[in-house]
Amino acid sequence: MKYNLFYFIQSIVIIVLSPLFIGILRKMKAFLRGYVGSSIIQPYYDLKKLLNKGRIISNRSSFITTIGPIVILGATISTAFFIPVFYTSMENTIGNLFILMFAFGIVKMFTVLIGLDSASTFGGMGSSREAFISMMSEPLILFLLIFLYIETKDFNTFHISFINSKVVHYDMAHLIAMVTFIIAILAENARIPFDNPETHLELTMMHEAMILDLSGSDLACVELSSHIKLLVYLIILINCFIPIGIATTFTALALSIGFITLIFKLFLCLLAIAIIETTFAKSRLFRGAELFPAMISLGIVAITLIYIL
Amino acid sequence: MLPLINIQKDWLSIYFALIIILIFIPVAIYTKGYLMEYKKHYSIQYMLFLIILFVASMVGVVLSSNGIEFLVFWEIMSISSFFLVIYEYINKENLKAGIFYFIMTHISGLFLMIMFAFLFKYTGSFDFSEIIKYSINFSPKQKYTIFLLALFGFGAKMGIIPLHAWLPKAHPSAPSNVSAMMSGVMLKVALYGFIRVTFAFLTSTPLTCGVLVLIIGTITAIFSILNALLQNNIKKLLAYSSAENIGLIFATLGISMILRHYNLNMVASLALTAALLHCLNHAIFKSLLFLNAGSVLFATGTKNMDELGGLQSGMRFTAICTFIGTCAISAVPPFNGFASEILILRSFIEAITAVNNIWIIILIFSCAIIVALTSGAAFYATVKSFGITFLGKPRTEKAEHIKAIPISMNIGQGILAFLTIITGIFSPFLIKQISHYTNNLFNINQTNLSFKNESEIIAFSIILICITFMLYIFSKINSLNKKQEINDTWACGYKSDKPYIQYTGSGFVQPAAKIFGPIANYSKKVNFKETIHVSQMTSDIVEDYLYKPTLKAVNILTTKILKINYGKIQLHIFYIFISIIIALLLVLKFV
Repeated sequence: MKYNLFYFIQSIVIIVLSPLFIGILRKMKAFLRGYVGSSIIQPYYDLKKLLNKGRIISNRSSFITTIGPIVILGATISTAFFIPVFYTSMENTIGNLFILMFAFGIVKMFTVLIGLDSASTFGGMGSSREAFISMMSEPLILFLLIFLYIETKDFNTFHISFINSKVVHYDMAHLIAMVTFIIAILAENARIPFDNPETHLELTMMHEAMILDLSGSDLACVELSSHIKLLVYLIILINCFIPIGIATTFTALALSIGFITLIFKLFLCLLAIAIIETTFAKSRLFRGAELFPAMISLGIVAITLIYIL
Repeated sequence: MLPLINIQKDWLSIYFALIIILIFIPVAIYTKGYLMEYKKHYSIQYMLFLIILFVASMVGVVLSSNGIEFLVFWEIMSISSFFLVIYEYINKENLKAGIFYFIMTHISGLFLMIMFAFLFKYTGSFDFSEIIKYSINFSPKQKYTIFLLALFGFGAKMGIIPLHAWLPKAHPSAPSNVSAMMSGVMLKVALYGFIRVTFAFLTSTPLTCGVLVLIIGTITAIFSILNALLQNNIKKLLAYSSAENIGLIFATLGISMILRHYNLNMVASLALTAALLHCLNHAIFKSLLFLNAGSVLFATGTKNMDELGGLQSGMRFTAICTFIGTCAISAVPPFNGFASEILILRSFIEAITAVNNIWIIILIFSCAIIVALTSGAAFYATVKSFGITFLGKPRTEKAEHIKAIPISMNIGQGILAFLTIITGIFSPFLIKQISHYTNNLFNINQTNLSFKNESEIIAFSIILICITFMLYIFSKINSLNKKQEINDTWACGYKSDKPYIQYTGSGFVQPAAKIFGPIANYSKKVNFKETIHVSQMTSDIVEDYLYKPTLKAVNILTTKILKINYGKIQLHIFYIFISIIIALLLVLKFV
């Protein structure tokens, strides 16, 4: 197993820049709604503010609250090392898509338990809804793995993006699989229509409800982890489904093209999320869950398309 | 050594014997402390004798090399486990559950006897090595016969649908150390039998057999886990979840059989490896969770999670062990459930790309989707069982006054928790070993070619542990000069947070109950005479719609038959005469 130093650098870049992209997303939303909005580096200031604060923990909380936020951040950062960002190759390296997806299971596990840990109603409510949504979205993730394996005969994210970057022709099944994965991203990252990341209304919140009793550096860890998580998911989407332009040779020109196309595609994705979040309202829990069976049916259509056409 | 008792020395037997002994050691240590609770009312010697008999007979089953030997040990295993289930005989409910189990286990024994009789008829021998030698000559019809008998015989013991109904009754009734052995190990012994018959005796089976196993396994998995989700009794939840895991293993065996039929031996070997690895992993984490449930019962005296809560402050060690078990069962890396879950899903995916028949592809794809939903539901169910029981505030008096747990019980749980981590992180070595054997079984010469990626589990574990450790140091330094405050949970502006503002177990799974409720026959009743009181009930629909009508029909039939019973001795002798003639005719026709 080989591990290139450049893989390490590109992963670090994405970890460091993730709050910036969240700032850009917020700016885009503000622009679409017609107000000025905060500066794009506001998330960094927020994290700094939280890190400088002391922490208050509930007297009911256990080891879950003590170690949870750190493990959550640790697991999310580890996943960033399993994906290609703007350079990929066919070297035999880490990057198994299974491990990547199950690593987000650690995050899910701890956030759900943190919700139950502080003995408050809100935490339980958020945990219950989060566990429900993640149960329903599990088949979508498996569908992603099945589809990518059928297309490339590989589970390694680096290899998948390498193979797919050589193919220019995208068929119908490819697009359907992409749409289902976008829905999975929205569900896993607590975005509209499943969850509204901005409100603190008890009727709407899921992710915010679970971490309601965290404060200070704990909250900073969880916030940063959710920023990185969104970025990692978007990069999986970009590099597995539309990896055109990603650097496959180690030259300055290829790398800069890779970097620029990645930034461009990320901007498009963030704009799409911003448009979805400003034009849709958060749907009811069960209305949102109805999307998953629909997506699975689309998935079956995609699989049949591959084998019959 | 006697000629009758020959030990089967191939890897399959030794692997399962190893599982039995590996689980038995911690359970035996645990039993020492756990029996304290029973000293007043029950006999200790009785329990110890039966447990040892139970374990010895299970080892006997997996090591026997002869049909007769197998059946004898099988019966000893069934009977000793029956007496263990009814150990708490004072409670009448347990007797009922025990008798249900007794009947089901004998149905299983009956099918197996017929199966070995047929094997004897076809091959002329009870000896396993003779049967394997003959195995190439089986005709498809003979294969069908033996396969169906094995399916019912072993299936009744494993708890596949629709023969699972004893499982959620017998496991909660038995003492926790016994249910750990039963769920962790006894179900695996039945699986061993099934693997032995379908993979070693029959070599390749017709396509329908594989499809049948796949479908039954998947239905068992999804049905049991949705039932588990809606249970509030910890042990009942775990029992249903055992049935779910058996279903998963069964479905993976089905994949392997289908691929074997198409001669795709590489992927078939992968699927069989996944199933075998999950046998080991499930044995470890499920017995760990049953032991934890036993500790909870020991400390508080209740199994109902809506009466518990906040146990982590009183029983920290058990809470940590249960947390490890919960992580393992919901496939969180780097614990062991994750390694086999990956292999299972992977064998499904590789099967989709390997097979050419479009109908089989769509079948496997749908089953894979259901399996994914199952793993999501397993996460939901186990998080409920851990979170509601151990986290938050005590919901009743029982959860506040906790009895101290003896050290031997903690050692038992600790060993299993340790095994859970070890077999998780070092699963690549296990996979390599098992795949070596399965490749042998399928006559593949290339060694572990399709398993190269799994060594990433170790890489991931190292990365995760390093980063988390660094972050931990960083957060320690960061919080050096800062205010640390411990305060009450925010109670929406009210002064004190009462325990009943927390979510209960039933509340926690309410979204799932709304959608999947009918599968577990979920019903809700609201009583508002004096105070508003909501009661929620679930029952097993297979039991309601299959077992109860059958019992009713049998009852009616027997009352009808009773009429020919006049009480005249001549008539009875005539009956005996006729039945002997029928028996003779049957013997002449079929042997």
